[in-house]
Amino acid sequence: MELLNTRLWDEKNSKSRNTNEAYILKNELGSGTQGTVYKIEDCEGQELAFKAYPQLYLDQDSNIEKRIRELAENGSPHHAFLWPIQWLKLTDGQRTFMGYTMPLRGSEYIPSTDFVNGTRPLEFRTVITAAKNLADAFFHLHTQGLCYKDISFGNFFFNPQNGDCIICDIDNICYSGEGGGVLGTPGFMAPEIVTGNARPCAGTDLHSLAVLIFYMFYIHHPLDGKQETAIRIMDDIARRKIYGTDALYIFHPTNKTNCPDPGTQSAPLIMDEILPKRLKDTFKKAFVNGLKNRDHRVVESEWRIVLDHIEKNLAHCSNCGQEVFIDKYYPASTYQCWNCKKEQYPITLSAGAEKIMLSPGVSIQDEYGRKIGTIVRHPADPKIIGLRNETDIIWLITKPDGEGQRVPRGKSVVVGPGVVIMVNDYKMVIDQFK
Amino acid sequence: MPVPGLQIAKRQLNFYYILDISGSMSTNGRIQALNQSVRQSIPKMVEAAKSSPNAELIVHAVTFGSDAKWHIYPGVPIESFVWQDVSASGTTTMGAALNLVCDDLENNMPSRSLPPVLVLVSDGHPTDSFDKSLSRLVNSPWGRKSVRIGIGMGPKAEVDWGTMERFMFDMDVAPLHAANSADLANYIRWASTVAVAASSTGYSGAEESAPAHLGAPPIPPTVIDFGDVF
Repeated sequence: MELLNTRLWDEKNSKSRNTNEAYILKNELGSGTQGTVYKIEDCEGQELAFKAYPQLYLDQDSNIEKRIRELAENGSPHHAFLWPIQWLKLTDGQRTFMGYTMPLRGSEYIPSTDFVNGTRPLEFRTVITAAKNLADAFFHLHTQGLCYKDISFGNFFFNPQNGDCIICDIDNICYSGEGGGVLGTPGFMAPEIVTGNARPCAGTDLHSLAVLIFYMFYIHHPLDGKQETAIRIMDDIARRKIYGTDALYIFHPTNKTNCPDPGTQSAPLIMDEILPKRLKDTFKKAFVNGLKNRDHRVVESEWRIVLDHIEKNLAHCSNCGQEVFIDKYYPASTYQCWNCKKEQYPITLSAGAEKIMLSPGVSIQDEYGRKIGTIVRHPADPKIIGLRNETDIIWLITKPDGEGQRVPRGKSVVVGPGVVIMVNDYKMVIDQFK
Repeated sequence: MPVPGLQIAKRQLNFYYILDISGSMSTNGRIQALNQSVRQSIPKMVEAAKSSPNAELIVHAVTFGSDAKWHIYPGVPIESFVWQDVSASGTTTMGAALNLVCDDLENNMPSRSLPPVLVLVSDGHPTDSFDKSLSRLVNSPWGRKSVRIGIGMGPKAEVDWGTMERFMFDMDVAPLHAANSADLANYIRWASTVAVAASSTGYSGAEESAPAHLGAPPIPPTVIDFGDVF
């Protein structure tokens, strides 16, 4: 398109036209009803994203410039947000582009829809980490008195390797309860917004966040049960019923009228057999007690505790390689793998007084809290897991039969009961949790 | 590791291009612009389908000249949709085209689905009984709930705006006027992405609007230069 590589300058600063303080518009990154995002380069060669609003949108939301300027001035509450850097009115002499600059989203981040579509299956641990990052980001946003208003999977991206999150479309953020902007995305809006009885605030964000976290674990909507299946044409009248007036949790403990339909809604039924009780209880709180009463919704600090807990109790099935959530591991007991049904004890690593359950992605620290290694899957056989050395120290291994091994940086040692790892004089013992 | 058998629940979203290929479309490069605009809209539609994980987007196309014919039928998933050029000649049997769509909506919809999306592109006046077909559409359960966008093509005075407006009954936006090929490309792109989102996700509007109404969002302004006429 002929706009590309156009030289733009700040309209308020006419000097910049003639100096080097101009921006180069590189290419379009994406567009939607709220505007178009371009990659631009500033005079120092730094690449940024620039979101330009269509005039129609600026007319509809007259407060937006003031809001974005304030957000930019106050600074980002958490690194996950693609927070505005500066409001700009750029021109090439003929056209003007009004909007704001923000950091670019790294190419390692995938849209959350790629994950729920099933195109990028993830380890449960990555899903937990992503949910923790979301909870942290919204904790910081909400404790600053702000609300986001449009939490949905369209606005969030994550790194499939480590669960790092990016939250974009910060356009609607304002002080909780203040007007302007959107109502949200259908399906993610709190029931009281759907029925027209409330406007978005931090309390309604909590419902949207719970829906998003539920979607990440169940690949399904928490209110899409038999009520949804019974509807032939899913239009906004139907959505108003399912997500508003007649909203009912699909796993409601007593009212079973909206339970999932096994024929068309198998995902939540499959996942409900896999997920741990602690997490399911938290969803119950969010979608039974908290569904229509926002004071009973699950706050981010509670998500954080629950997610930390289930992360620590994620085991590895050495028979089939799946990750297994363990509800009760203390006092010691065996667990059954949800996939291959084998009864077994979790594999653990003991160092000092600490005992850590091992499964892919677990990070291991030394006595000073420095990261020394990560549990990884064997590239040739994902059922086998090993501890990768991420230090410059050569680890000395004693295998169960007494044989010695040396593990340099980047190499991994297969973990199994009886293996002893020495990092200088720091001793780690692999065992089964008995 | 993937969980065996885990799949997101999807509903079909049936999308219909209803395209005018009457004789008047052969002038001023209109038909060429139409072919290119539809072809250019495919990548954006694939993207829109991906961002609506609960929707399974199926695309159909019907053309009307001296008679109405399915150009793409049965519908194909957007991921495997390939546009083959159409050429223009004959009269404007828009009513017959709408009848073909009604046949499909009445007989072949799955038991659970998202509202169908109908995108009509035409440069003139129907030469057959359009209103009879329209009333059939209005009175069918799927037709009544469909998301409909009409794009009038060419000089404003030549387009039958009354027909376009009646086609867009109940929709919150007015028919679009594509005065040139740049407009057409933009509007087809808009219709094929925003209308898909309106059907699959529902209405996400500003606070002033009633949340229950499925209205189409505002049209983005043309960002490409004006100039070519057809």
